Amino acid sequence: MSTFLWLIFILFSLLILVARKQGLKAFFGLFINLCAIFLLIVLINWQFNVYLVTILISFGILAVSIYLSADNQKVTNYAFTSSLIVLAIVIILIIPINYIANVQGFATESSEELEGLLLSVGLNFSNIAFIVTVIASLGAIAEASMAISADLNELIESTPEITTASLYKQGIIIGSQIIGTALNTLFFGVLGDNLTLAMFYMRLNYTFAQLINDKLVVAAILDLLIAMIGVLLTIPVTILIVSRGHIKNGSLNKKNSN
Amino acid sequence: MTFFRLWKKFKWLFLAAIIIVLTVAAHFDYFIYKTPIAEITNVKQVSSEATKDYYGNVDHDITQKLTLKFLNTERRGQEIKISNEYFKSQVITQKYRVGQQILLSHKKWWSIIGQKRDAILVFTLALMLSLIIFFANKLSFQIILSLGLNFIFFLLAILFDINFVSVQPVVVFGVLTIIFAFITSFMVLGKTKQFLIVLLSTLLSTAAGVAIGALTINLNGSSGIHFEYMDYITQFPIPVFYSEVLIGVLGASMDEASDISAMLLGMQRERSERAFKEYFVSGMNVGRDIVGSLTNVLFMVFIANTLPMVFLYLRNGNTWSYTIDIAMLLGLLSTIISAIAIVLTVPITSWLAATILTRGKKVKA
Repeated sequence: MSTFLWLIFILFSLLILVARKQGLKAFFGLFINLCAIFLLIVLINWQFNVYLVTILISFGILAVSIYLSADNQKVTNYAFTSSLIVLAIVIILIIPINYIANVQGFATESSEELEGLLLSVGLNFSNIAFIVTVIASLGAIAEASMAISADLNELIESTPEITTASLYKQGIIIGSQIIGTALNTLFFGVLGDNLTLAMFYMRLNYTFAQLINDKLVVAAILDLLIAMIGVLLTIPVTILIVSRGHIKNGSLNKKNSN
Repeated sequence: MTFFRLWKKFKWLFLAAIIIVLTVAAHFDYFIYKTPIAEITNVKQVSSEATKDYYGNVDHDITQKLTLKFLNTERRGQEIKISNEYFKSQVITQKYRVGQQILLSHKKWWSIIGQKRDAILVFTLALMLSLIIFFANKLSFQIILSLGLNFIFFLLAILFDINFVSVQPVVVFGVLTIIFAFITSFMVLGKTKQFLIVLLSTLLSTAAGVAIGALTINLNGSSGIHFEYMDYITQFPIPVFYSEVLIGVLGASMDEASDISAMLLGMQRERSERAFKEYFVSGMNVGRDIVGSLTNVLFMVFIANTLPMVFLYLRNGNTWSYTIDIAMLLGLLSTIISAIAIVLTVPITSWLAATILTRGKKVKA
C-alpha cells in the first residue's frame, strides 16, 4: 500500500507544481468521481434500479468532470448540456445493442480468473454490461464536449457577428480537428487496457470467425466503438447547443437585423 | 462528377444505406462459415429452480430446450433439439431467444460454441465509421487510416511478443508506442514542425511517466500490489503492466501535446519575435486546463473494465478492501501513472516547443 500512497503523493505534487489551482481541482475531481463509482457499486449491489442509478451517477460524474475543469461559466454550461444530450443518445443506443449482442459477464475463456468464485450471484450481469459501457464512455464525452464548446465560445467572442450558418460550418471544422485527437485518447486507452486480453486471445489461435463472434472480444470492441460514437456525437450536439445559446443571448438577432 | 455532387448532398442517406446493407450482409453471411451455424426456431423452458448459495445470493437455475435449424453445411435445413442450462444472472452462461443464430460444434454430440455476433459488431463499427466520415469531413480519411494502421500494428506487436519470447515485452511495446505516436501524429499533422514537437514530447512524457511509476514501485517493492491478479495474464506480469500503461496513456499525452503546440504555433504565426519565456508560460497555461479531463477519460475507461469482477467478488462474500485489492487496484494504479505522464506532458511540451520555436528564430536572424 505504501507504494500506492507514494505514487499518489508524486502525482499530487506534480499537479500542484505544474497546474496549480487547476491541478488541485483535477485531483479533487478524480477523487469525487472515484467516490461516485463506489456509490454506484454499492447501490447496484443493493439491487436498486440499474437504469436510474446509472443515469444519476453519470449525471454526477459529468457535472464534476466538466464544472471542475474550467472556470468559464458559459463554456461549462454549454458543455454540460451537450454531454447530457449525448449521454441520452448513447444510452438509447446501448440498450438495444446490449440486448442483441449478449456480451455480459465472462466466458469459458475466463475460467482461470473465476476459479473459486460462485457464479450464481443473483445479480443480472446483462445490466452490469450496460453499466460498464456507459461508464467507459463518460470521460471521453465530457472531454470532447468541453473542448468543442470552449473553442466555439472563443470563436463567438472573437467574431460576435458570426451567423448561425457559418458558426455551424466553423464548428464542424473545429470539431473535426478536436475529434481526431479525442478518438485517439480513447482508442489507445482501451487498447492498453485490453492488452492482456488481446495477448491471451492471440495465443489461443482462434480463427477469425471465432474471434468476431466471441463474447469477450466483441464486448471489448463494442465498448470502444460506443464510446467513440459518443465522442463523435458531441460535435453536432455541442454546435447545436452553443449556437442556440448564442441566439438566445440576442447577439445573433441583433446583428442580423442590422 | 455528378456522383460526387449527389454524394455531397445525400451523404447521410448513402451512409445509412451502407450501414444497413453491411449489417444485413453480416447477418446472412453464414454460408461463408465453415463452423456449423443454426437459427433458434423455438425455445421451451423445461425447468426453473431457485437456488441459494453459501453467501445467501438467490438465483435461478433454468434449463431451456432449443429447437435449432441448420443454416449452413450439408445439414442445412435439418432440425435438432439441444438443451441449454443457464443462471438468471448470466455471469458466464447465457439465455437464448428465438431468432438468434448460434455457432455449434460437433464432437460426440452437438454443443453450443456461442452466439453469432458478427452482425451487431458490423453494425456498430459501420455506424462509428459513418459518423467519422460525416463529421470529420476532410480529416476523416486520415483518422480512419491511422486507427486502422494502429490496430494492425497492435496485433503485429502481440504476435511478435508471443513468438520471440527472448525479447522483453517492454521493448516490444515500447517500440510499438513509438510506431503508434509516429503514425498518429504524422497522419494528422504531416511533415511539419508541430509533428516533430508532438512526437518528441509525447514520447518523452510517456516514457518519463512510466519510468517514475516503475522507479517508485521498484524502490518501495511491489508490496500490496498484486500484479499476478491481472486479468488473462499468461506471462510474467510486471513488464506487461508497464506496456499496458505505455500504450494506454499515449493518446492522452498526444492530445495534450497537440493542444499546447497548436496554440504556440498560432502565437508564432501571429507575431514571430517572442522570447522563450513567453512561449513557455503560454504553453503551461493552455496545458494545465486539460490535464484533469484527459486523466478522467482514462480513469473512466480503466475503472469501468474492472466493474464486473468487482461485483463478482463482492457477491462472493468478500470484504470491500479485499475486493478493491484484487479487482480494482491495478486499474487505479494505471490511472495514477497515466496521470503522472499526462501532467509531465505540459512542461515537457511547453519547454520543447519554446526551444524549437525560438531556436529557429535565432538561426534565421
